[in-house]
Amino acid sequence: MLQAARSICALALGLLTVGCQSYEVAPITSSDFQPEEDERRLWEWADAYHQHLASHGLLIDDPPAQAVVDEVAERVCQSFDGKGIEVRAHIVRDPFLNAAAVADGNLYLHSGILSRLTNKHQLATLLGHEIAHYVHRHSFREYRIEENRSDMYQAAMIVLALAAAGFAGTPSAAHLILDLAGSIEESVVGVQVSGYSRELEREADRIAFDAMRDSGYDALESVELFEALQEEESTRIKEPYFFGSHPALSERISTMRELLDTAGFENVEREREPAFDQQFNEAIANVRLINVGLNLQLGRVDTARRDIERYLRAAPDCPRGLFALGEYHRRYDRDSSAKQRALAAYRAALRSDSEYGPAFREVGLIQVYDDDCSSAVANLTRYVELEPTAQDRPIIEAYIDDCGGKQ
Amino acid sequence: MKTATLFALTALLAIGGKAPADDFDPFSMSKEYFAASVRTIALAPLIFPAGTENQEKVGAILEAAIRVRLEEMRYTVVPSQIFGRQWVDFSTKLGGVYDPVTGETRDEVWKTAYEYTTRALRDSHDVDAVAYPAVTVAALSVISPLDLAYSAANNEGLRWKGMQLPVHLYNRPQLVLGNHLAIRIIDLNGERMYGVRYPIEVTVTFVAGSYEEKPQSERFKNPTWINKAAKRITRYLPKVDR
Repeated sequence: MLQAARSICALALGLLTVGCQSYEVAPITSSDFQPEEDERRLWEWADAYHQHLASHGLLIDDPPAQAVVDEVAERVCQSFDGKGIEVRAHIVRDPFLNAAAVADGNLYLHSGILSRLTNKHQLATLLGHEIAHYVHRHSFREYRIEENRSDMYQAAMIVLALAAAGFAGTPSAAHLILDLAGSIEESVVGVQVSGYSRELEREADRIAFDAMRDSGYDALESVELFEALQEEESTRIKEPYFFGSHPALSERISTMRELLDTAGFENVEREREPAFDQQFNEAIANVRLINVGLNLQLGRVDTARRDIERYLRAAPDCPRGLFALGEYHRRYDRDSSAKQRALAAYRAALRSDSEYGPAFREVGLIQVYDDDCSSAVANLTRYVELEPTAQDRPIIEAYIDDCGGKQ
Repeated sequence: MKTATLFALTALLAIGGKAPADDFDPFSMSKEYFAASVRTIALAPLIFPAGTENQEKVGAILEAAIRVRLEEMRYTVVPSQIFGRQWVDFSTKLGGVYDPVTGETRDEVWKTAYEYTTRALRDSHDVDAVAYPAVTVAALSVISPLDLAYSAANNEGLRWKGMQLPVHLYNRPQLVLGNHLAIRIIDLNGERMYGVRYPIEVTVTFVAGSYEEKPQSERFKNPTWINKAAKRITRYLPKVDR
């Protein structure tokens, strides 16, 4: 009888063991790493996600920014023990603060978060976190959990969405997965996708902190990155695909502070200004300017203004940046002195580049509306000379004729 | 009778369920940004579905209904003739916004014409945004349990949100199309800020291989529904603080 009971227990235990797969997996850097069969499927979906981003024009090809991202990623990768790892970092056209790592080693930095950074140390924190997700196969670990709850395809999509929700836990990128998933109901993937579990996020933060320090970056800058996220949370606007909030953000700032304390930074001034690395900011300048446009499309005027200021701090004489500042004042500034500020910015652009056509046009049009006809004719004529194929040429020529008649 | 009772029972059961919350959000930008930046709205001329009769007369009625609502919410409203004149002027200078061969919109030309039109309106009328009203045709997708119950209880033709449909309850319609009053509000840079639509009337009902169409001459005759639609499409807008 006792033997029969033992046999039943053994059988039950055996069935349980067969029914559950292990959630603990060796990191990619371990010498005996071999991808599991179901992990390969995850890679295939990750590749489909990449194609989706690329085919929708969501990847920014900007060589200077790409170079600095690659440089930091490579240096951080070298601090991971074991087999060498290879990641491919991409810049995504999206103004929200987010970054993500998917199962096949592709990392995605959104233009919003890249524009928010002011130095390589912060970038190293960000990349370290995402590389930690990749190296420790967090996608695959989540996949194993989901695989027991739903079918293979759904599990892959859920995990891909979790990964894409990324660093800030924002579901904007995760919603691209909903498009990709097509037939999957929203409720399955979840509309409140906010990234990996807290446990995995904490693990990635810890590993990133060590990796950042080991690769020679300044650990104090890591807190600045999280505080930027928290600041963004407080000013977050509602728009169609952006309605999640990361529940663990405050917790993660506390984790970073604890890590700093443990590492002996407890007496260091925390309220210091983040370092502004000129070379880094010059490298990401174009991405920042692209991000200005994206923020303005969403009505995030203040965020756009801050991006312009950061851009001009790195490139104070750049006519494109000065022109963007002028456009900001002309289009969005409601202050009574907005027109004068716009005019000053356009004129500064012309001082930097005396052949910058759009600035001549804007100065000329302001003068048209101010009835300063002789100056308007001169500036608009110069615009037409510099931009002979401009689409608005017929309109500008009509203004020149009207103003000429009034002189 | 059995069918009607079944419908009524189903309907009552459905009513017993939790009513969905009105979480519809017509804003493409934040409502706070809209409230902070929009006080004066220029109306663009109303757009109708092809074949609509008396467009000028109907357009004036619909525009007036929208204007009244916007003014009640303390917006300054610039009439559509002002926008229309500027738009025609600038788009003509650019050679027209439609491709003369394909008839498709030339997006870049549209953007440029819009940029100069709104720039001129801002200068002359301090306009902050442009409202594009339109009549659109769309399927009326849901026949509510309440309507079914009402129709069954009264043994009368099918109703939709209290609107009488030209078909009896027993002949469940396959498709019901209706004219909707729609509005899109665009900022001066051409970015969509707000958009919503609401039905005015049923125009076509398809039942069992046939259909019944409301004659053009009888359309846009119900001021109650026009005003209701004007109210519904503007109800989410923030009231201007003056």
